[in-house]
Amino acid sequence: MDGANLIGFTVVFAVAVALGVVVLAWLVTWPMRDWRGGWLLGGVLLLAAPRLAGILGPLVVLKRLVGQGVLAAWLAEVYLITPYAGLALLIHLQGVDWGVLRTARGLGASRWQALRRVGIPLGLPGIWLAGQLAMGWGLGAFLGPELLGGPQHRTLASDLHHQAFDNSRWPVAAAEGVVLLALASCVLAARPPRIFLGAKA
Amino acid sequence: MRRVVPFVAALLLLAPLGLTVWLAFSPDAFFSLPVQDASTRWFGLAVGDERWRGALLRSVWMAGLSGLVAVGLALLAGLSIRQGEKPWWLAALLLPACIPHAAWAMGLLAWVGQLPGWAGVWVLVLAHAVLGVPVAFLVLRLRLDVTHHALLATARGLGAGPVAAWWRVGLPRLVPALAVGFLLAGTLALHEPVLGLFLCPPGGETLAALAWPTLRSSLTPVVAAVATLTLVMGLGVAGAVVWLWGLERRRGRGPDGRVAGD
Repeated sequence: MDGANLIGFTVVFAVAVALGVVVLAWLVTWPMRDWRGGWLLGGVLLLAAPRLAGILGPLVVLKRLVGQGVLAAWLAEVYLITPYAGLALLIHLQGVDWGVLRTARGLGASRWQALRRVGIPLGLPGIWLAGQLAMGWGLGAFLGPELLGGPQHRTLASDLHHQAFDNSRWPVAAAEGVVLLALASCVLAARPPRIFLGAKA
Repeated sequence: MRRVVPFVAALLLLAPLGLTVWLAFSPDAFFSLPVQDASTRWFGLAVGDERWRGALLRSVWMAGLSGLVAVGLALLAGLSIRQGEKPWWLAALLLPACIPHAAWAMGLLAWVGQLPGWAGVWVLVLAHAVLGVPVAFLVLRLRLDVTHHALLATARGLGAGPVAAWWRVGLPRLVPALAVGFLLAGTLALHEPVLGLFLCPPGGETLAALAWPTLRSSLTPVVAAVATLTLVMGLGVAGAVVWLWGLERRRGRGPDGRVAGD
């Protein structure tokens, strides 16, 4: 795989992972938005479960159930990254005063309208942050593509491992590491577009 | 519908863990219902084999050590960075949570090669510790709030020396956060596979490094059995976190520093 293809696949894969992570993280954290105390702790532990309970086993399970391919690699990465992005999203959602949601309902909005016109706009800064984190981690996707993807599904991080350990081409591996860091830094440094800065409640 | 969607999403997060346990107890190398004849032979293989046992023990003590280092660094950072001050320092502290692990490992690999063989293990401990610092720091920051500084100032005002104020007033209030930070950072280090894969010296493999060839080719349920053992440790840690949190509340304060019920 040449350099341009490698970087292209890595970026496309990272975008796909970030989208999956944001949707899953939103679905899990939305009901936890007004949890407090022990409930909140339980929610945080549930969200962090994939990371706290280990990821080798789930990788084995995915490989057996889904087989090898880009879908399995994507699923694995979404599973691995959701805890981090979800926690960032949860921190944002916890800081919003959700009384406005009840107000919207009281003023006659349907449940769906309240979510679409009030809930999601208020959550957008958190969604941006979660997406940014997921994108940064997705660029560094290693375990999913390496274990579950085919040989044509290499990302920068997995190719880096091959170059260093299988081909002993250290300078190439180091260069890939630098490209990876540069891409991740660009993503993390990106400022949110105006729409993501938060709606006026 | 409103209740179903989040429930399904939560299930998606937990299902692979459940299936791991299932696979670990299955009598043959495939998913077969273990209800009729659950087998512990994969656990026997995992615990009986010296390499797996060694890797498990090594992973656990290395994770513990890096948790300790992470919490120490986080404490020093937390004490020197006050709320709303020095955003660049804060960004630098949280940066390890965002960088790709493969790039981080590759950078370390270059100079691990220059060090004598025994140093590899310690580099690995420190590398994991750096990744744990943001987590420990965020937990600790919940307690290093205005109340903390006010309490210290009050103790000093009432005549305690700086050491006494810190030892008798500041530190006891931080202990639960320190413990939770240690547990979380250590657990993350225990389950972090990429660094071990890059940096483990030969003969000193961590669990992930040892499992790697199995994961890539043969996929025997031994890995699932080992993963189940570490999963139980993770559950233990989660239980400990809940217990510490509850302890705090029974003493009248939540870990967010507020008095219970307010």
